[in-house]
Amino acid sequence: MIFNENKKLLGTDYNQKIQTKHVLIVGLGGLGGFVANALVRLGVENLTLVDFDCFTMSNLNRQLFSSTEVLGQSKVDVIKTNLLLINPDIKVDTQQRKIQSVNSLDRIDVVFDCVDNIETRLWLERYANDNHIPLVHGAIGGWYGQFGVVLPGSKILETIYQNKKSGIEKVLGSPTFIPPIIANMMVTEYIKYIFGIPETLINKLMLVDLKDHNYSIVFDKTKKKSTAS
Amino acid sequence: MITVKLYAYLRDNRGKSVELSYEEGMTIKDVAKALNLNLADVSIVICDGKDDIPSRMVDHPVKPDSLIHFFPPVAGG
Repeated sequence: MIFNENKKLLGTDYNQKIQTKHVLIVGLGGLGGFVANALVRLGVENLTLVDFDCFTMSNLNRQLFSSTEVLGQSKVDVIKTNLLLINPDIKVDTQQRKIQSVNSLDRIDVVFDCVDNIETRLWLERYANDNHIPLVHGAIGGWYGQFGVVLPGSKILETIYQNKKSGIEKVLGSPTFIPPIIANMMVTEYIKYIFGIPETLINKLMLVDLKDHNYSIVFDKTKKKSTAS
Repeated sequence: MITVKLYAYLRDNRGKSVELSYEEGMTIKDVAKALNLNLADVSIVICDGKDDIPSRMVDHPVKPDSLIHFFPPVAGG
């Protein structure tokens, strides 16, 4: 019943492809909250949420599950409560700590990279690589964002963040409208990946410029052609 | 003319699109120099459909009518 509108697009058996996956979401800020929301509404039933932080005033402009009622509370705990209100039958494990200090995780099928720093992004890429699982990458700053599905061995994040300490977000911030767009594009690419849709951004990144409507696909080894103009 | 498109703070003091005169043997490194652009601030370069990180694009030849994009790193969440 919950997923009838999804089944119209994805077929009656789609839920099995999604339900059986254990999804790790690291970073429950702007991107992570919207990613968790979308995955549960798609039918994901087994999630692990990792974020050391608590909600603050500065989160209210963009973070889906932030409100004045939960300031000071653990992000992963608040988000777990909200996800269970959407679907009470799901299993949500929470880890209020940095991912590097999480002792052990059950078998993970896919990692969503929603963190806010390059060091952790590179750690996640190595983790996904070592565990032979896909990493769904997303990053935002100002009018801009990027996303794609990174498979083991590609080392795309290690390549693009080479010798970089931070990105444009330090200057341009994270406005209200950018997290939901990029977060839901990440989830869209994940669904396309599960379904084997050829146009999925596998080992490619989409660079999004919402200000000037410039959308470029990079690292596309099959076409070697950019949509930039 | 070579057209260079810039994004985010790379536009500061340069604008979002810059046209440069072509010079024989010009490379991406020369274009960056003409714009006083430090390639350490750039994450991805696209030149006429070929894209890569700056360190692998510096010697990429530029054509008289090339279209080049310089993207800075994006890492917020």
